[in-house]
Amino acid sequence: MNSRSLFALAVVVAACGETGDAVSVTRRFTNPVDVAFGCYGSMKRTDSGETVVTPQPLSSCRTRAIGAPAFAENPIDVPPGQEGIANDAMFWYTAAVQPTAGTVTFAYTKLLGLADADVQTGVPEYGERDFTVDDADRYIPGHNALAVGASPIAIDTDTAGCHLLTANAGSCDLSVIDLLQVVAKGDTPIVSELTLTTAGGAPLLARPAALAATDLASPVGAACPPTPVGIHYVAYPDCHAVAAIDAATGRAVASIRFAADGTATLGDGELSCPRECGARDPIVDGARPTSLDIVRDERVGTQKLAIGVANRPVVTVVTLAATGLPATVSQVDLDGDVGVTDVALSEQITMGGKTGINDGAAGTDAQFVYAVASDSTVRVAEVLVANRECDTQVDPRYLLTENNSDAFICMAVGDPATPPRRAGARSPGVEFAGPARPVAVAIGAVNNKGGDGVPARPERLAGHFAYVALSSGFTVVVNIDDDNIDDTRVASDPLATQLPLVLPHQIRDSGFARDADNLNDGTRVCDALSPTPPSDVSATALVIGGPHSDANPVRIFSGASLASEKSYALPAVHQSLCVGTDGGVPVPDTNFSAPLDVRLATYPDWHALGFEEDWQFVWEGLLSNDRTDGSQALDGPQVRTGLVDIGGGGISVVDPSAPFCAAGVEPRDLVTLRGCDPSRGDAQCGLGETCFVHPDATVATGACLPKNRLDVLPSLCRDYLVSLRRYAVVDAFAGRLTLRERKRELRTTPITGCTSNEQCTTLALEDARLASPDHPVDDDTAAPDRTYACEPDTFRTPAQNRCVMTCQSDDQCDAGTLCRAGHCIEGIVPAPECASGLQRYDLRATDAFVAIGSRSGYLHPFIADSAGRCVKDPTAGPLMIGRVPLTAPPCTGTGPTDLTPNPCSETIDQVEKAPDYQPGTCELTTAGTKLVTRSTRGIRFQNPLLRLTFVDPTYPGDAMCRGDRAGALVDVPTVHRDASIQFRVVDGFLPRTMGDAIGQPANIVRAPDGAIWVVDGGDILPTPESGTDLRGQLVRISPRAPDGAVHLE
Amino acid sequence: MIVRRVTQATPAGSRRSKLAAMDLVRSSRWALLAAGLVACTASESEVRPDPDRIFYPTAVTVAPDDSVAFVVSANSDLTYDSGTVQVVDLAAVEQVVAAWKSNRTVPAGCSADTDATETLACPEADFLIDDAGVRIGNFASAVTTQDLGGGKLRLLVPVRGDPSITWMDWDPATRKLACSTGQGFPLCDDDHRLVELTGFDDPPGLPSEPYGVFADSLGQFAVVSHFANGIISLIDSPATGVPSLVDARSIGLAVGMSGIAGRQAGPDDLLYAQSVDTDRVFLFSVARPAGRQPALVSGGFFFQNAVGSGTNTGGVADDSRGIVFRDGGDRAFFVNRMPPALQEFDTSLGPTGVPVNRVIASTDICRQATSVAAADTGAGERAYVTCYADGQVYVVDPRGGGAVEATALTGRGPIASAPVPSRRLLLVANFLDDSLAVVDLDPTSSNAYRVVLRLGGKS
Repeated sequence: MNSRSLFALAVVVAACGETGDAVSVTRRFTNPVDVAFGCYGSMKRTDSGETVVTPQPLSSCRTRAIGAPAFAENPIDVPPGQEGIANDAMFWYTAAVQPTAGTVTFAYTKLLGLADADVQTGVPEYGERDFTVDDADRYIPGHNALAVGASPIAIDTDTAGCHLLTANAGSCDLSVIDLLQVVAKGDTPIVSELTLTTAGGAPLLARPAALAATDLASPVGAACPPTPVGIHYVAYPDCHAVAAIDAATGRAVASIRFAADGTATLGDGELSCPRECGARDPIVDGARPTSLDIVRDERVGTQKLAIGVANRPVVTVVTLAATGLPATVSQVDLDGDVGVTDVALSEQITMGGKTGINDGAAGTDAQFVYAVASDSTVRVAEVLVANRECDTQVDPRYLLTENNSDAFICMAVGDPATPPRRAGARSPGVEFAGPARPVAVAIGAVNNKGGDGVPARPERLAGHFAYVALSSGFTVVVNIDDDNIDDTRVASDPLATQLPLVLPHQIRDSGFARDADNLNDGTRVCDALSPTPPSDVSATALVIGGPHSDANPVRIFSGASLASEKSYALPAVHQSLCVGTDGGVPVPDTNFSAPLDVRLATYPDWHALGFEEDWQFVWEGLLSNDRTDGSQALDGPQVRTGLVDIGGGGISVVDPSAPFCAAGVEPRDLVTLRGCDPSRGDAQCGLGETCFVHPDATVATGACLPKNRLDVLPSLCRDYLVSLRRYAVVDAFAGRLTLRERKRELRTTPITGCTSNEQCTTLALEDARLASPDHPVDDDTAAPDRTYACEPDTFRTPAQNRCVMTCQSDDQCDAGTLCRAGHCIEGIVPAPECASGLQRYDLRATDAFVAIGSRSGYLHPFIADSAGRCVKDPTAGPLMIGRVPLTAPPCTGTGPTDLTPNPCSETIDQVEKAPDYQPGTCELTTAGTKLVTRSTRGIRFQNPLLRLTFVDPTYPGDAMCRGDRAGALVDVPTVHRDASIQFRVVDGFLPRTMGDAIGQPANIVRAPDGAIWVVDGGDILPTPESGTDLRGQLVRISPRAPDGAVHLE
Repeated sequence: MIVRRVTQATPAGSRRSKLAAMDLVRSSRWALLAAGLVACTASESEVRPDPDRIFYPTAVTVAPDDSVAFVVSANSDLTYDSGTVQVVDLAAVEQVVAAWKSNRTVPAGCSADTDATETLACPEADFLIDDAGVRIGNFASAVTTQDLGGGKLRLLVPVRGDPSITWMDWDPATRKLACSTGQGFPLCDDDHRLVELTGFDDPPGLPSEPYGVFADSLGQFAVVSHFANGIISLIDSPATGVPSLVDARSIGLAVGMSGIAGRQAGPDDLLYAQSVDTDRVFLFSVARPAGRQPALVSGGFFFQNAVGSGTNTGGVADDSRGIVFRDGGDRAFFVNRMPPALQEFDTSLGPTGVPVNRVIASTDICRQATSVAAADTGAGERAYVTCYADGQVYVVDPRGGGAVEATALTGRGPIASAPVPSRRLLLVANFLDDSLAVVDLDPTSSNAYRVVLRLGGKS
């Protein structure tokens, strides 16, 4: 190629963004997917008595690391017969298998014994400098891994601890790694191939997907056998079977076979599998076992194998005999059409207790399989007693009075006795906030309870826990049996024993001092907006205390509609009385200083709360909360784009993306055709269009019109162009909203309907006076010159009369409204040419506050039926509500499970500070305000996160002075469009994570010493901020100190 | 010394020229003039592309009936005066592959690859249909097919050098591409290069850097992403009429639009567009207002924030390079470079009628991925990711959360691929070595996921 060509090519390549790596690094891992462990060091031979340096059973190092029996009062810390051999003569080996490279990378560290770990301080036992990543060939430049075979996808250690085996998907065999030779690096081959056969000796050439080795409790002190020993289970998805392989011979000696429906049976080793390496056979569809976990439970003397089937809703548990061969098989069906992509089996757990691990003590035993399901949840099955799937999503509102913790061990899915699930729960499984999906799961036990009097804290794990690696790179802890906290809600300590914190199978919370109250030396402080961090908790901790609003809810409104001095006339969040050192103080129910029972009721399910969320309740607000800067995508754009279909006297909005049911549009909602903002030029218009503002317009809204038709359209479309272009929805389909012209109404129309034209005239004056800051006694606001008729408005509220603005000409209507047929309307049906291009529009509720959260969005129960019409989902729970109207059916109870009707109306005592006038005047006293408690009407609203009562949906008016509430108005509202109540909930639920975020977790593995190893199979690319450039890493996390992690890169 | 007079296919004119490319040509001319005062001028025929060669292929697509493949050569080193679209006879490819696999038959002119014993190397000319190809502008970046019915196809090719969207029709009866009245190896004429929007008194030009393209045969339109900005262009392409460029607008907040695809073909197709600059995936559709030209309608976006960032902060994925939908639009594969990942999304319609758009699988892949394709050739669906820097195709089994099943060395600079499901082959365009690799997708073959035939290649 000539130089010109090369130069041109370089330009092209650069333009395509195909830049090469500029960073030169030595990466020691290449996208690992699995790890296994080895124990190596000095050992006394039981036969000869001599001390040799050798690989040995994992139990040797495990005993030294965590004692045996683990978590016993006085465990032994040296294997029997090995006394006198110091821990510093022992090493842990970790082997990571790397399929794309076909290699295994080893790392090792000196063993730290039981006494070396400081469980009190929680300091990680190991630091990164303690580990050495092994160079498999020191004579080759770079950091070399051990080549083992084609596409090794799993690795495990044989029961003698002397060999590690990899399952090779590329060659359909196993590779045997001699750990002694790994260390010795001599001339003896390190890796050998183990060809697999059926029981009859035929080649077994199916492609493996998983490998798990049995632990046959090999005694410490025996010499290494020349071949691997024990039974290894290999999952063959395309053979629809799991084979039990004798590691010494490579021969299948037994199997677990799966029928097409996922039913498992035990079989012999005479498997008939398709060949998938070399010459290949066609694959027959069927159940695909792809994940395995084996747990040997020393305490009860069992060993079990759990199997996950990737495309069937079932988990399988095989009880293994002492030989490691399958003895019995049982299965648990999972709810829904899901598959299982990873499984983890727990030990047999004695549930309950709060004094540290209590396995074997009095109590109910259980054993669980945690299964990563294809619906991005982690399913839980109890496989010891109930043998059923557990519902982890039961709404805790229904469990408050349950005092028997056994009832929570495994609540049966679908059982009529099992209370309803949390609103919006996808399945019975554990759900994780956000879009991340669970990738892998491991279960382990840890007993970092701390000493006597040491309080429970989120990082202090004692009990049995599941560790779930998420695709986002975080590892989340799930409580299985937290032995450091109560197991039911304790009435005397309701904050610390919130059910989401104490129930099994719940994501662990990371909040500190959850039981913090507004007490200071026993005295209540009513103006406290947040808890004082306890002395042992950092003030910078993300979550301290229970959920609360970080300030009083604020009311935001337009001064043109309501004078700022009259904000009291708007609905408000209910307030209760706090009695403390600072006297009686009205406190909003959302606040930290609200009475305890009120705060508990306001936040009924801490798990549903994000650790921080802004809530807005906006009158006739937008049905979307997406930020216009594109930083948030919850409900779709606030301003959308679609077509307007005009014909037959009607007008429709058509959006080919079919967003309307998802947006929660209901009949009578409000659609505004937004046109364009003339201050932005033509930027909001299409090509060939201009943002045209009609000279007669009294509202500053333009419309995008074709430039080449400006000679005709302004006159043809005049009425459309000068109007507000607001319409009422009469029918909602996913892709089409049928609209009608919307009449202008008086906002002070009574919520129960008007009774006469005269009443409307009177209320119109009241409406005008709301904008006046004057006391009524001084208010000389003139009666408005608009006229109203009390009559039905079928497109707004069909069952009652409304005060509708009437007219004979446009000048008798408000700005942007037009006189048609004697009524002022907010938008007309124009000629089709007037709205022929794409139209920007927004969607708003009518006659209700829209409840919308910055994290939750707008919750509603609407779905599309088979015809595409937006209908209420019959399966949606009563909490999937996002609107708060000013009138509602009466509430039927006050309990936490009184969820219907929702919203509902109630009479409630409101505590507030009212203006304190000198008698007979509107002059305030010196105090200015007085504490009052008055009975008023409230609208109770409940959604999955909040339970709030909005008081004073209407205002009676004032007689003499502002705020005296002595007026005679009945059921008259004061709200106006976009008036809102807003607050921020902080210190909600924050999942407890382990270590820090990584690239793309491929696996998570429980090590023999109880540590959790997260296998990061993802690349970490260098950025301007970070020079880190990795192709995967291993992360060791000690559950005893989950904040820290050791990264092997 | 011979100096060729480079007469470029890209016509002159401010609107029809890509300044960077043309400047390059001009500067090369001046440099050559200065360096070689004594020079001959090559004739037009001497700089015309060799109709028997693939050179800097950037895109490949396959006819719906798997009869032929269309290979786009970009002329990226400007050796010739134009790029090309050539037609590969897939029956011939399959025949040679079958004979090679079964008994190692080596056709005349071919040879066994000395480095990869399972690979047969043949001149591409043996498989290119004579006189079927056409010439286009330089730096073409992609190709898509629109099914016109009766086996007839329309090809749309974003050409960065013009810039234009060049289109041509394929007639299976004549087995020729048609985009001009010329004969031989014709250059597509102006009527087949969409360079400005229609229906305007002062028509805006096609935005710069057209990159990805997707055609909806049922909806009878095509959309083009533009790499240099956040713009999507819309082509109205009636099956019985002539395509026209009718809209071009920004549908999001991003720049560097890249991968683009439709969820389910039809007038209401929901389209997805990626960016190299953001972790957002933008949704949009095509509206046909009465009496007006079709227009693009923005439908919001969602984040690709389910996969770790690779910067230890978690949660974002950008530098996206391709989308392919499966199962009638119920699932989609997205390929990203930051972090290197193939993500599978559930794009089925939820109960509200809008797509779920949730990650259901994710797999670490190579760095600098360039495209993704997918097919089920008998052992379940697989996704195929071309890996530019590594010279590989990653074969990803999406089942069970996703895993790399195999990697195939295909050649230097694999940039695009196209499955041939009925023949159980994958065609891979190797940009840097001027070749088309044919990968065996037969799951029962001992050569599965290996290159069994290489067409062309730098000698």
